Amino acid sequence: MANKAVLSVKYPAITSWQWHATLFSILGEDENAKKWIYSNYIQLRCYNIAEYTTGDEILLCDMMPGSSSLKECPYLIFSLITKPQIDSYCGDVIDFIVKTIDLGGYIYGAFDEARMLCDVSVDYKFSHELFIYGYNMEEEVFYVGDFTFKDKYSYTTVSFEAVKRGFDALSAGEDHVFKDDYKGTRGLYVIQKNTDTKYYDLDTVLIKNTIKEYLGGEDTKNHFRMMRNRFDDTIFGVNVYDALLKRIDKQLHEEEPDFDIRALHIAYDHKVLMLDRLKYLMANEVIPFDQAMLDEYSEVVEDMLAARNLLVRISVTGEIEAGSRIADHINSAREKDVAILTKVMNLL
Amino acid sequence: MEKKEIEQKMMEIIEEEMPEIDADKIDLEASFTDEYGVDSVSLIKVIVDAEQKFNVKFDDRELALNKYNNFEDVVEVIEEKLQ
Repeated sequence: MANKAVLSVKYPAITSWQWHATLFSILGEDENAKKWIYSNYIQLRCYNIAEYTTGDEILLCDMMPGSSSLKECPYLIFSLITKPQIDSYCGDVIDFIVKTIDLGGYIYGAFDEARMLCDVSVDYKFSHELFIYGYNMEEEVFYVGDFTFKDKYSYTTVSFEAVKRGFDALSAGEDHVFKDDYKGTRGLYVIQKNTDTKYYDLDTVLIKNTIKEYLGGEDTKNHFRMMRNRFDDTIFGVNVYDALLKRIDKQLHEEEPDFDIRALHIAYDHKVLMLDRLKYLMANEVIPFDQAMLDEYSEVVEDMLAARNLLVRISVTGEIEAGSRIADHINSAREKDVAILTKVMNLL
Repeated sequence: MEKKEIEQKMMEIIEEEMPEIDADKIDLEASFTDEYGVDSVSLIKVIVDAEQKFNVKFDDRELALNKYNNFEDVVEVIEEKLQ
C-alpha cells in the first residue's frame, strides 16, 4: 500500500451528469476512446420523472448512451461489487477503496452526501453518485470528482471518515444506483481503464444514422429496448427543444417558480460535444475542413449557454418576463443546429 | 468614471456577493476560477449587482463564465459600457 496514489483524470468536457463527468474524466483525452465517444452521444432524449430525492417532477434530459455508458463503453472494465462482498473481502469500505485504487480501479457509487457534509445525524438523505480516483494515507483523504462539495463539478478531497459515513448511511433500498438494476442491493462499481488496444473504430455510418434520427426527432428507444423499456413519454432529438421550451415556461410560471437548470445544461453540453465532434471529424478528414461551419456551430453553443445563464440570472433577479428571451435563444440554436447538422449528414 | 473607481466599487460588490472571499486579499487580476472558486452562479450575481451599481446592462451572452479570466476583465467590460 502506497502513502498516496492518484489515478489519472482530466477535467471533463461535459459535466451535466455524474456518469458523463466520470467517463470523460477517465477517457476524455484518450485517442482510442475518442473514436467511441464521437461515434456516440448524438441522440438526445428527455422525459418527465419524479426526482428521487425530493419527489418533484423534473424534465430529465440526457444524451445516449446515458447512465449505462460506464458499462457499455468498450474502453472501461466495469465490475459491480456488492456490500457483502466488500465486507467479506476487506471488512471495511475505506480499505476496499484504497486496495482498489492500488490495483488501478476507480470507484463509483451512491453515497449519502448529506451525511458526508454533516457529521450530525439528520433525517434528510441525499443519495448521490461519488467518483473516487485517489487517496492520501497521511492526510486520510480520498480524491473525488463531484458536484456537491463546491457547487459545481470539481476535483477535491474528502476525508476517509466522511466517505465511510456516506457509505454506511445508505441501506440497500436507498442506493439509487443499484436499486433499479440490481434489485435492491447495495454496493459500488469498480471501473478500470482499458485503452491500450483499439477495440472500436470511428463509426461514420452510426454517426450519420444517428444524426438523421436526431434531426427527425425519431423515437429511437427501440434501439435500447433490451436495456430499458419503462418510459412511454420519451421525446427524442430536436423535439427536445420543444420540451425544454414547454418545461421552462411551466417552471417560471408556477406559484413558486422553479429555477432548475439541469435540462438546459445537458442540452448545452450536447452542443459542446457536437462542436468537438465536428472539429474531430474535420481534423481526421472525415468531412472537409470548414471554418465557417465551426463558427456557425459555436453560435449554437453560445445560444444554449446564454439560455442556461439567463435562467440563472432570472433566479437571482426574479425578472420572470425575461423568460421570453430564453425562448429566443433556444429557437435560434435549434434553427442553426438543424441547418448545420443537415449539411454534416449529407457530407458523411 | 475613472477605472480606479470602477475597481474599487467592484471590490465592494465582490465582498457583498462572495463573502467567503477575504476582501483584503482580493486580486482583481488573479484567475477567479482558480483563486476564488468563481462559478457561473457567483459570476452572474456579481454582474447583476454591477448592473445596478453602474447603471449598465450586460447582454445574455456576456453572462458566460468563459468570457472572463478574472474580475479585471469584468471591470473592463463595465468601463467600455460607461464610455
